[in-house]
Amino acid sequence: MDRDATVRLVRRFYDDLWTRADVATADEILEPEMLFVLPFARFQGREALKSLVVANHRAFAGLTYHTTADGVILDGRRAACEWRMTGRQVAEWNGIPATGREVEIPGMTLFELGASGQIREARVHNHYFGLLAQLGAVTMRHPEQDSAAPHGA
Amino acid sequence: MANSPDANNAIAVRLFETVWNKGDFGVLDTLIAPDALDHSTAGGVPKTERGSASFRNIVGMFRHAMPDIHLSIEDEIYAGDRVVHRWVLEGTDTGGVMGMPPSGKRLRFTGTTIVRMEDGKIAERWANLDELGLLQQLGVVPPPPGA
Repeated sequence: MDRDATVRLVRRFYDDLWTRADVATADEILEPEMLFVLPFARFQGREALKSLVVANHRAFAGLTYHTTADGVILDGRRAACEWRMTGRQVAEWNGIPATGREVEIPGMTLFELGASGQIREARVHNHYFGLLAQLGAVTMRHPEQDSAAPHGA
Repeated sequence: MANSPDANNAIAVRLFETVWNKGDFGVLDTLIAPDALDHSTAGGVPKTERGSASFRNIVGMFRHAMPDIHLSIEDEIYAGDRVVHRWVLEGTDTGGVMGMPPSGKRLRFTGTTIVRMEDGKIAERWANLDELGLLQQLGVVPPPPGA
């Protein structure tokens, strides 16, 4: 795959699959047994990822993953992408009742592509703690702590 | 003159190995541009700071908290002026993380860092780490709902 095709593939993962919730895209761009890894969860296979996309769209109206061509970094069959997620929580999500709140978090994902040119693995770090904090779903127990989260490392 | 991607990666790796793992802050200014931008998610809110001070403060805080700190690189991708590292950080919390009392616990959390290089120095950094996992290990936040 040339550079432009790989950039398009990575951006389709966000634009078509995650933002437009066009789950048929998953069949084109993901290997059947692809692995999607977050620090706190992992999803194996296209179908698991489709379900995750649909569930998150049910919970967040206008769920959008903002990417730029400049934010995609390629090195052979591997790629990295930085992104920003926005949306408004309109339904229960992970046990958190609908808040109606707008949320916005940054994230970054490392991709590994298979020989077929489809995505084999995606490893994500997102500002999940910030998302929970924006939804009012997490509070620090420590009374002297004025900063709820550490700096980036 | 722009460095090769390999040379750029070597500089980013040096920040981890020298400053993070050995506490040699003397090399910071040789690795980081004076007007570097640092994008972090401090306080639950993404923010941007200019200069090497935030690098110094963040590493200094973690090294004080965990004197035996060790950051290991798990994966790296680099091309053009960008370098990406996925890493795992481990250490024993004997000094207290983020101003909290020392927990005495062995902590382990992961993150991803992207840097933009300019003239052989880090000109911009974006980092995203498993803050929730860290705070849960410290026992200061409960597991998320539904977990």
